[in-house]
Amino acid sequence: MSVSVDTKPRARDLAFGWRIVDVLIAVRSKFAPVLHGPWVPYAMLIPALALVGLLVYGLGNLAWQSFHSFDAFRAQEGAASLDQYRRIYTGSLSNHIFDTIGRTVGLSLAAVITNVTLAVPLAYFIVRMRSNAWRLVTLVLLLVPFLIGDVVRAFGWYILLGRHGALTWFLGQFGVEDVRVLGTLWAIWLGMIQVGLPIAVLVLLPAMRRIDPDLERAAATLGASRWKTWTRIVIPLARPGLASAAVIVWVLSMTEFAMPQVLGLGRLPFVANELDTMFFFQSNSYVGSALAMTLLVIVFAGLLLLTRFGFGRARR
Amino acid sequence: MGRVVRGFAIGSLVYLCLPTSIVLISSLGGKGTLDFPPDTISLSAYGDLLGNSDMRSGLFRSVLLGLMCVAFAAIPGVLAALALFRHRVRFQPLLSGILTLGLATPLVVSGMAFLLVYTRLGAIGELWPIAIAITAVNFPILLYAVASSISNLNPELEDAAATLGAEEVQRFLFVTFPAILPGILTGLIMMFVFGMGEFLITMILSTVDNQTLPVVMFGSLRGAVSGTLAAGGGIYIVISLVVIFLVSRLRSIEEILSRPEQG
Amino acid sequence: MTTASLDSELGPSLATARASAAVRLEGVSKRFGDVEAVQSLDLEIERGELLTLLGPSGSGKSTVLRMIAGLVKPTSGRIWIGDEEVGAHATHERDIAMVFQSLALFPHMDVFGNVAFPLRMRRIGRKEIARRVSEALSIVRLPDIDKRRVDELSGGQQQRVAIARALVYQPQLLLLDEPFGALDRRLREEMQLEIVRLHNALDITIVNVTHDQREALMLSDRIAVMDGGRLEQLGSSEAIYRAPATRFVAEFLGDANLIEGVLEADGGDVRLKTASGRSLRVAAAPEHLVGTRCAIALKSEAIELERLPEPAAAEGLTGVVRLGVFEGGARYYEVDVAELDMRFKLSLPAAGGRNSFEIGDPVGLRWDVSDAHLVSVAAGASAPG
Repeated sequence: MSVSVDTKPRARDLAFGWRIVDVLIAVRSKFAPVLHGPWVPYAMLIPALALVGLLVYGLGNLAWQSFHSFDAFRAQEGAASLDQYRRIYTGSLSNHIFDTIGRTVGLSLAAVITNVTLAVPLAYFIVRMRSNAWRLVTLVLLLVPFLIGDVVRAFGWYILLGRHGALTWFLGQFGVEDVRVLGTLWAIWLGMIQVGLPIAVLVLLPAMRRIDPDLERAAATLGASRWKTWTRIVIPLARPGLASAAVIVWVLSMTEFAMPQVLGLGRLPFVANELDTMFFFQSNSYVGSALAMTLLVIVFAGLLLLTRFGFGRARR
Repeated sequence: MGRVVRGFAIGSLVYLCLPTSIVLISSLGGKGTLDFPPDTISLSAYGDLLGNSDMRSGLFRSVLLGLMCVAFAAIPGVLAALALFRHRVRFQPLLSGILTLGLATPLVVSGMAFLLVYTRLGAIGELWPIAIAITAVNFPILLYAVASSISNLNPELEDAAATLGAEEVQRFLFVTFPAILPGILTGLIMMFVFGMGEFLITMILSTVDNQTLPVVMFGSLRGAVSGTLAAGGGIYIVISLVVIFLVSRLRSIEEILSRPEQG
Repeated sequence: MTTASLDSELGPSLATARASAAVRLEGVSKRFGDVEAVQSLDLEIERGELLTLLGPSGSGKSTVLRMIAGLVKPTSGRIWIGDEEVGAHATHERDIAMVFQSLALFPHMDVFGNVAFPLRMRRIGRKEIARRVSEALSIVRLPDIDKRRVDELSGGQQQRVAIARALVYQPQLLLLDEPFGALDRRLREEMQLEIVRLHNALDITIVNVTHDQREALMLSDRIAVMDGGRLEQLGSSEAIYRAPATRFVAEFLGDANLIEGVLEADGGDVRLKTASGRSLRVAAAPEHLVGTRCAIALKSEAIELERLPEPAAAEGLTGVVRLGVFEGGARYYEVDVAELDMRFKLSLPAAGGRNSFEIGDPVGLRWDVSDAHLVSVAAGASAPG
């Protein structure tokens, strides 16, 4: 038996690209011991860690400022103290701040509940859809509002709910006049569904896709009603996805800025709007830092609670 | 499928695309104001947008910002995903947790954090520091996109290439890299869209001189709302459609942003 | 150059390698942490033969294959492929081909790209590649599909592409890592016959790994049965089927019924004494096993059933039919033998309505002494004889 493969063709027969590959191979084999060292993957993480490290450094700065006093008159940082937190929680500001935090948390929880509730049937609908073409159309309808960004989303609702907008026109056809939605919590809530629902569905899709349709058929043959099949089969199996969806909606809602500003007409600020005011209009980044840290803690706490207790552990 | 489920699903879909359609319709109204329904159909609002120097330069800066995000994210993102999900790294959960910090931290807090750092470094007023901030915050999106295509990679592919005579460099160049390339491209396209549409961080970090389109649009929302604004929205809708088309060519559209499944 | 200087130049590895062996393993072991996947294995695979590594999952058979391919580094021991000791050679430097269980077709290339891949890695010219690819595809009987994407192909077509990709550069050695495991039965048998056909036509050495005893018997010139990282028995398919050396081999290949007992010398004869006191003749037994625990392995088709007028009327072993299944050419029965506390599994010819028993029928069991093959009982013990 002969080995007929000639592994060494003449150099001039080789295309240019192959010569580059050969140079790379030569370089690699020269540095093989270095390139196979155990530290290589860690080195590969350095650029990414540097990038995120900047954010960590910034968060550290925020934390530092929040625990130091500040002399606004002389623009000088003072000693370590709880002054900033005291100003938020006990000073004349406190009522306004508590209102803002309560509004933010309340509407965010409402958004989590509505979005996850609406996302389950929608994700199920997409997964079980038979026609691929329609599935694509559905995903486009889902993804466009997700990709256009906060401002365009808020703007869309603004002209929809505005004084000469589509809602007024639509209700006008039925003789209903003078409905004001803009500037109410309802408007913000409507806008927040728009923000969270697409991403909630996207996060739910993989978990939904893993549910074998035969399980539902099996449940049906075993005598489960449609409702029972949902509560006993579909929802429990989608649980891990539900938890992630809730977490993402929570984080996005808690930092919402455009919807309260535009749809709440600035009258119903969220924490993000309040932070904006503190940093830019009052130029007080020290008090702002304390509020930012508060928001961070609330978001992380909610995140932990949602993953721990919100939907239970995934059983697999 | 139950009728109730289908009803809810279709209702939600209609709800979701309501504002988008309204923006599109209004942008074609061609008038100064945004009364509904529009009286005429024209593209004049788009012409007005390009005629408005603030809007025009905002649009240009938005595109530039998106491209910068892609440029800053590409190499760190691919390297990190390969290191975390293809090599063995100790403290893997901790390290990937750190890298996904941007997604868990409220955007406004991240924005303020970068504001402090950039004020200290004197980097306010430029576009590239904003791009770095957005890249750091949106980094997990790229990481997950690449990671999911790595985890979908059949580990036997590289072994097979080796038995067929491929040396390590060739295995990476001709097998591993092309196989994860769709994931990388998907992630980078997402970085572009989210970069060019980003609002909150950009607003916090930008000055009057370097506002992007969303910031300009947000600013003009306080004044009289015009068809030009709707045209700005229309541009974003069209870009989103193009992106969805591109990504769906690359891989199953449902895989976008789905987290990599463990095991 | 004289012969002597040639020998000394080429070193001891070539001098000791036998010209006939395509692959040789010497004391090869592999540990994964605390698990000893392969224990000190010696194996010689001859040029041009089709050898199957047969064993249950976890027996180490795949690890052996991967060590030959260089995908797994042995903890100790040496491996030769042809005349070369390959311990220092990476996988891509060994002139081998492997077909994987998942097939590992490159999803981002079309059929042509997949089959051309090994040729491109060898820097072969464009025209030559086109010629060889179409030749390889016609060998596996898949002409005119080179522009198709691999995920558009049927399972059988994908198998053939994987084989074409492995054969296109005419390697010395083809390794098959259970590539047929996931196929349905008809397709699997078709591909197995395809391998036999290619093996006969191409005169290539093939090492096949499987847990399917039928496949092993069908394809192989020789079978190496593995269990727990050790080689249990090595021999031609027929020899292994007819004369399993150990209890494990007997059970794994051909569903043998095992009657355990102690071997006793009885004058010039050697017999197996069961716990119930019955003394059974065996085909052949070496003297040195006398006094040890052994078992008689009876193949399911080696036993005949005899209808009894009433229970326990015969001198031989008697039992009661517990299960009967008609299988077309044969009838499958399970018979309880109370005396041995055993359930026998038998397969009897069914032609002409023969061997028809009802559940509950008392039956006598007989077999030819030459079929009463003796096997050692302790797992991993060496073969008698």
